[in-house]
Amino acid sequence: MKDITVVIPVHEINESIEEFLTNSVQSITNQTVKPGKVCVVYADTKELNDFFNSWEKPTDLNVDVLVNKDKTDFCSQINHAVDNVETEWFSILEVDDEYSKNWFKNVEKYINSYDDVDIFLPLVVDVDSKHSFLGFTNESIWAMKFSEKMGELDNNTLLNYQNFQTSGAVFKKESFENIGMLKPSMRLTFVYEFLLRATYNDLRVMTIPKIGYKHMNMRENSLFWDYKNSPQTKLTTDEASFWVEQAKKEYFFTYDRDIEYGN
Amino acid sequence: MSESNDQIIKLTHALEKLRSKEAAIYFLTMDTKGHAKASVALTYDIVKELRNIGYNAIIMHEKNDFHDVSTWLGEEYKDIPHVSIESKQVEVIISDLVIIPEVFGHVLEQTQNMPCEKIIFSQAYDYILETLPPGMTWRNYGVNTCITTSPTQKEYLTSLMGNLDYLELTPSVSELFQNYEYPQPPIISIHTREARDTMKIIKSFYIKYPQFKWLTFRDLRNLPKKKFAEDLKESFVSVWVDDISGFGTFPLESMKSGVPVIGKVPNLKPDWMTEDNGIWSHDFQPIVDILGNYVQKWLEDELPQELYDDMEKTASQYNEENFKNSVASVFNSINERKILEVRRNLEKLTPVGPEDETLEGSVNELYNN
Repeated sequence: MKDITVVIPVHEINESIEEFLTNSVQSITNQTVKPGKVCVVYADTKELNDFFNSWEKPTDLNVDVLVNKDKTDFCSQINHAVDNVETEWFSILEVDDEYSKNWFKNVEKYINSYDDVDIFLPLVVDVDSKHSFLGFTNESIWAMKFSEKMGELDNNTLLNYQNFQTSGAVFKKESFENIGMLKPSMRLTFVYEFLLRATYNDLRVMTIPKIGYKHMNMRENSLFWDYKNSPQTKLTTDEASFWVEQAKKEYFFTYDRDIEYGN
Repeated sequence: MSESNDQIIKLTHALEKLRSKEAAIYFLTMDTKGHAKASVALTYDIVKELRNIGYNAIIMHEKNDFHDVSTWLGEEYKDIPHVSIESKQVEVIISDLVIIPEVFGHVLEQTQNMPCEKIIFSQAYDYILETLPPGMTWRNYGVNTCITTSPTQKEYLTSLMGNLDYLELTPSVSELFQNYEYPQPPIISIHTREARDTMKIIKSFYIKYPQFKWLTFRDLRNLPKKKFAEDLKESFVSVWVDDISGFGTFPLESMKSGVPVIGKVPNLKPDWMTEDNGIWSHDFQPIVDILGNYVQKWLEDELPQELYDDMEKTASQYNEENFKNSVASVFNSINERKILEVRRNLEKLTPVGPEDETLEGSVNELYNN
């Protein structure tokens, strides 16, 4: 599938990054239908610069490595990569996650069948750090009477349910840019706010009912692990609710308003 | 006019009617009360095809308030002529045929003295003995021929009542059954003879596989044919449990729709069933686990392409052309046999020999007298 770029954002370093990156890239190499391009984008920190200066790019994939000299958060890495994407479609692969081997084959089939869909979500398998199965994400969109149209996400449904996953998803670049890309200031609800904004702007969001993505849930020191467990960034239930409500307010605005929140 | 002359006139008329295909072929049909029923659908398809090839085929029903099948079978069946026994306006003559489904075994005694030939149409072998008194066979009621829908049923029937002629009529799978235009959604179609089997499968599936609670089951029983075909193709697997199925229409419809079937092998294994064209179990209990494994494989895209290829190959054998040929072959052979029988009877009654022209001449003379 030539017209798609896989974006691998790297915003932090840890002792397992090499192993993670090897596995995630391997999951692209193993695709039965390979994407045209891979774009690894990393935040401009000394540790990440050191790592990527010695990283050997896989030879069987068309890989670009980008440095984001601007911001170091996860969303900004993706936005920066998308600015450089030249294909019609792109997909996000978190560095510690993996695609299932037929994901892009299925994406191709669905793009050919549903030419007006803007975002294809995968059926995500959530695993723990030992790769044990925890559950599915994005599957509920296919449950009967869950959303307005079986298989598709809509704004009203999102106002009641927040737990959806865009990692592994395939986005039409133009639609993603038109609605304002990701908003780093939304912190832990950036996915939720983005989906609210997408559906509010009439983008068609569909789950491909095939296992497309293996997501390591709550890996130690990951973004969401920190929100739940880190003494510095841990959120209370009330604080988490605040972010949900904040997303519900912010999705009317196209671009990130860089809101500064006090402690 | 002597009794013999009267008989000659009747037989000559019968011969004309048989030759011109004007002789009525009545298909005694049960009232489905507006609910879809595969065996009745096949009867209507046969009648429709017989009329297409010039036969005077008619649906015959017991009561006047017969429910119109076009509500579930389709508008194209609305114009087929119907007659009601209750109306007492049906007058059968020697050239006519009455086709009696095995489930109507109880009417055999009442129809015993009808002047026409009766033929049994057996689609559901399991009901045969329910309507026959102990020790009686169809032959006891003057039935010499039985039409059935598969070699397996024919074999079973021959072993049960060997003293009849058995004819095979191959049903077709309607062209309404087509592949879905889009990738198949995660919906499971289910079709069981007993409603409680459907509930048992659905409930135990959700208990054993809570991770798949988001999957939707669709019970396809009693749907109008078009809606049934649309719902069936819009699923990624179908489940079929029907122990007493005679032919197995549902799995073939599913195969033709590109939807793999998980099924329990019926008591009489269908002729089309192979190890590779579906996922078959001899027992009911494992069906849920087979379904759970299948779902996992489907979600991971691990199902073999050969399964889909074999399904297509199997379903393609039951096409409309083969069905039309089969209907023509069965009823042409019956008609030819009846013509021959009438001619032989005429020969016995007339001194003029086998030439029809001479025969017709002598009949005209009788009329004139």
